[in-house]
Amino acid sequence: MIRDWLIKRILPRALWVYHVNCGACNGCDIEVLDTLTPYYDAERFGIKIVGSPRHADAIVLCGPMTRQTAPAVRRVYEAVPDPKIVFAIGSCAVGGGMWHDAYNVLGGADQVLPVDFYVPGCPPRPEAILHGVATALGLTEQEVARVSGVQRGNEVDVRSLPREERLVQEQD
Amino acid sequence: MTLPEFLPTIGIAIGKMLLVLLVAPLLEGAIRKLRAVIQSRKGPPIYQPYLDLMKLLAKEELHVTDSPIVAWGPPVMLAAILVAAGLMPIGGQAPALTAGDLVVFIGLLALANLTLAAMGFATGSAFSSLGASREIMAMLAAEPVLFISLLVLAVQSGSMTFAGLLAAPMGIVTIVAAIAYILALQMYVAKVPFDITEAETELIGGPLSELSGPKLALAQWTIYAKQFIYSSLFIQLFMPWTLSYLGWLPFAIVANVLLVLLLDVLVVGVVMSVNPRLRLDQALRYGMSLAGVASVTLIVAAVVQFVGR
Repeated sequence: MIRDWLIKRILPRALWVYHVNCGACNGCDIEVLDTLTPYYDAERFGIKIVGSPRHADAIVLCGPMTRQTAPAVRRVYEAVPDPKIVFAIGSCAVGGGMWHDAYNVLGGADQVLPVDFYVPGCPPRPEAILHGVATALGLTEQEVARVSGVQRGNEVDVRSLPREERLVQEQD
Repeated sequence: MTLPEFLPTIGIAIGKMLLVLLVAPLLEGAIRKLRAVIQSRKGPPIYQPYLDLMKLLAKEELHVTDSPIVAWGPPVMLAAILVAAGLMPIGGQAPALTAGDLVVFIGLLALANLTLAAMGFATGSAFSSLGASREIMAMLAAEPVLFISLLVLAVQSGSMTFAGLLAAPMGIVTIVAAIAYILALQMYVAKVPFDITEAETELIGGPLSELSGPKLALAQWTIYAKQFIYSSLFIQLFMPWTLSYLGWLPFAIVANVLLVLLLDVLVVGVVMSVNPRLRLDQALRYGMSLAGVASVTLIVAAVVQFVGR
């Protein structure tokens, strides 16, 4: 019981992230690393990048899921202790992107792992990544008003939505 | 002494353990805040390490090996450090005569480090084995300085207990020992120029890399507590005048905690914010030269004592 409370209240404020490149062109990787620089200061939300999946609470996947990396990514997922959150960063990780029909690409990250949150963009800007993560953690409200016609003040808690509807809209 | 006479000592020791457990993560939080300020960003709240620890305690624990060393390592580490915390003086007040033995204290600190190294070897992962062997090398560099600079005080006072050390007369040798201690402080607490063991970007946490959930929390907590103990010891032994004029013990303890915070932020925090990591051989050379200076001081102190008698 205390455990559930801790997970619900503390985890979003102390998220340790493990970054996986599962076949990306490095565009998204650079943007993810940008997010952690002093300019964007992801650490102010308690977000920290860790080197070992055993320390992580979240996996950030960049790039299309290739046949070669899929088994390794699966093992990384198993090495993360529960509860774990999976983010797909960039168009390729969201749905395969421009490689969706390549012979060595299985598709988006969700072909292999249960992805919780999607941040599209090619590459998504650091602001978009931060916004996506902050929305996923419930630190900001999801800004869906312009897209789906939901009025302000009547927003949906994004965590209660089914997985398909959790697409985080990029702001322009 | 009989048991009832020991009870107050034991009570005070438990109080000190709780204090160290509760206050130690604050040091890390203050240092992270300072780094953020130096890099002109906002940084995490000062209580962030508490959140990290609580989160880790609530996470799942993964089974990586059958080795009992890994199963029992983190609790043993934390227990060793806590007993050391119970033995150390606080607020300028040493524990009752027989309870504050210097050799036991240093042995307990070394036990925590060795347990960490043993866990690193036991997991069998390449990163943690390498981290563990580096941990032992780092101990070789840091422990002599610690032990010799404390021995200088022991020679000055002719006693191996903290009660004796606190009463040691101040002299030139004490000041040299204090300088050696503060120059090696960064090595004891294994922060950035000397974070060779953990080396986040290189060894992904070294001996900690295979730990998860509560085990990682305990190991992390041990590291925070160790930092508090080493910094607090400096204040106690080499700057006792900062605490002695505060007559009432609770005041002295608060002053002690604040001074430790100041020392950690101003010395450890600034040094770690402006330095890159050293290579292992550079760290060893640094430790050895400090140990050399401290040894000369020790010999001088011993000779002076001998002649004085």
